Amino acid sequence: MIRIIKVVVFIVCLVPLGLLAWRFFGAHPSDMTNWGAGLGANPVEALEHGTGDWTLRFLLITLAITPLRKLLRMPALIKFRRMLGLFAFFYGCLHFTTYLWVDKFFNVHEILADIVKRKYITVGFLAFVLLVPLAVTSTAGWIRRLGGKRWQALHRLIYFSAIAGVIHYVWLVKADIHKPLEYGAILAALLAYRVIMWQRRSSAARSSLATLPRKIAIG
Amino acid sequence: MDEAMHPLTLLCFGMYGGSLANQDGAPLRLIVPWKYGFKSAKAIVKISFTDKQPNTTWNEANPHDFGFYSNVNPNVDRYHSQAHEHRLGEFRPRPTLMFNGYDQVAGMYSGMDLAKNY
Repeated sequence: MIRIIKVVVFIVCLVPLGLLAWRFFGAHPSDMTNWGAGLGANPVEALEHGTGDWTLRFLLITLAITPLRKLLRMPALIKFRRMLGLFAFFYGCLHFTTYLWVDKFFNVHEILADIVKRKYITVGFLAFVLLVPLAVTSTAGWIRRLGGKRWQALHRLIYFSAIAGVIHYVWLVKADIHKPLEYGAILAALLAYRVIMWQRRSSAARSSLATLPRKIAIG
Repeated sequence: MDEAMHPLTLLCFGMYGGSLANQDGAPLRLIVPWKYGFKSAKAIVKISFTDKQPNTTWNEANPHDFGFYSNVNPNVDRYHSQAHEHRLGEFRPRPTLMFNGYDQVAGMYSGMDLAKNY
């Protein structure tokens, strides 16, 4: 059953890419002069925004898995986390490629200047780079090699990647920061859940530690 | 005033042989082809002359990117780079030309530091 659902989720995750491609190539894909027309007056921007939006969305969906599976008591949701996280990386790669290729046409000089000088590009680049080790170590083999604790610690980088992604969005818009703040608010809620859980767990651990010596004394 | 009186500055009532559509800025719009597009104000109903340099919307919203003049200038180090442009129907970006390629307006700005007065 899980297997079938996984296939369905996989296909659904590809729908945003399919829609972008559909709009890019248009109704007559053999007519190269018409490419991009379906994306409006500024196809480059539409591709960049489309892939960027979906990178952030998949990051937030991935971060929502743990709170959801606990709150809804649906432990099976964990089985989808890796796939969703990898889709965040996939759309991140598309976003980065769009920037490198369609926007800058591999103009190395300009790209390096952008990364150094423009803070929204610096932080966006950071968000992408942070995802690379997570994608590489997403396999069961790597979990074994690193050990569960260390693997989990490494994969907490996703928090910083998502924060950097939202800051990237806030810094790049010209005037209206409503949309980036919506993403920011969702991210804040998802991270707040974790902070609350950590506090609860550490206070529980502390109270159990406090009772420990007495037990030993009695023993 | 020099900019307003320049022969390349147009006040348009129509487009492509027809009258101007609402979305294109009816009843009257300005076209200043050597400046960024937002300087070509649409739907003009009143023109007033001032003795001081007025504030402009985008200059207030994002002074780092949009100066008072907002001439097309690839050399200004903007927050959002304007060094290259994508033309409609073209896949490859091309370098943006100074004054959008309208060199005949350069004389109006002679002696001005266009990196500062951008």
